[in-house]
Amino acid sequence: MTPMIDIVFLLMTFFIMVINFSQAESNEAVHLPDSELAQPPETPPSEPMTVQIDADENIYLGSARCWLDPSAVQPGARPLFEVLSEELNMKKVVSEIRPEDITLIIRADADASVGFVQRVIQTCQSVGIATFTLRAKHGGEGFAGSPESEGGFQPL
Amino acid sequence: MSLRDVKVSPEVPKLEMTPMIDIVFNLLAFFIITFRIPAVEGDFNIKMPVNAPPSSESMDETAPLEITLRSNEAGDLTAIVFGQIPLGTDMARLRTEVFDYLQTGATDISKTEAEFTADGDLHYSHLIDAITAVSGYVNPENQVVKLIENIKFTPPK
Repeated sequence: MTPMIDIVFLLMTFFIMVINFSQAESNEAVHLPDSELAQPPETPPSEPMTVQIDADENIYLGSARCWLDPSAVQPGARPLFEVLSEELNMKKVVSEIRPEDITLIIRADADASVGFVQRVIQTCQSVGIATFTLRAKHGGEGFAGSPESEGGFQPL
Repeated sequence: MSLRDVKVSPEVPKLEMTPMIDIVFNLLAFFIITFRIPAVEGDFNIKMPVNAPPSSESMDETAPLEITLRSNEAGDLTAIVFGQIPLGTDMARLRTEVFDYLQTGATDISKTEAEFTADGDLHYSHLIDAITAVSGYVNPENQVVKLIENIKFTPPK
């Protein structure tokens, strides 16, 4: 019995160590585009806020489901502008964080349209957010290749 | 033999293992089922202040490199234009053009800006590919060489 319990406890320890709670924020419906240059930032943004856009162009801000177009109103969803404004007001009151301090992380699906993503950015700009990051998944099938000839890149 | 002489062996308390093992197995099953190898994710920074000056004035006299991405209605990439140069749909050529442009030393790399104009229907993955192409590359020594880090978008029409 003892060796089995030892192994089970070792397995438990392994899973507890590798469990990644930061993934809890990522939406399963969003399949990020691949990029060979996508590396975790050296210094994470101090005031991050994440907007997720799936392939069907549903928007999620935290746990809130949002819509951009009045023509695309869905039950249980609220206007993005309204949710953003509320969130920013709360941050301002509670922690004195201004919209300019916020970095908006956009996790958009590879098949979402660029026009839609840009309109989400515009809506965020309208509440004062100025810094955005586009999130991508490292590696995969994204575009890769080096333009270097012999001697490498020589910045002048 | 008197009753006093009877030796009662001390009772060894028995540890109940079964409930603990049940719980441990439940926890193990939970961890195994919910376990996902986390994918490495990274960011491309874009700076888009609300009242930004026109692109030609934004970076110390350096005009941004204009990159246009065209698509069909299905969202597939149909054309890349670098300035006025059509590049077909070849991202490698876009990277080479940017690389060659920066190699000439005509501009300060840190101040060089790339401005993307993309058709609304274009799939987002193509935009990320294009941003990847102008942002840098991984050289044969597996090191990331950065090219243009200032990325912006033309507002949608």
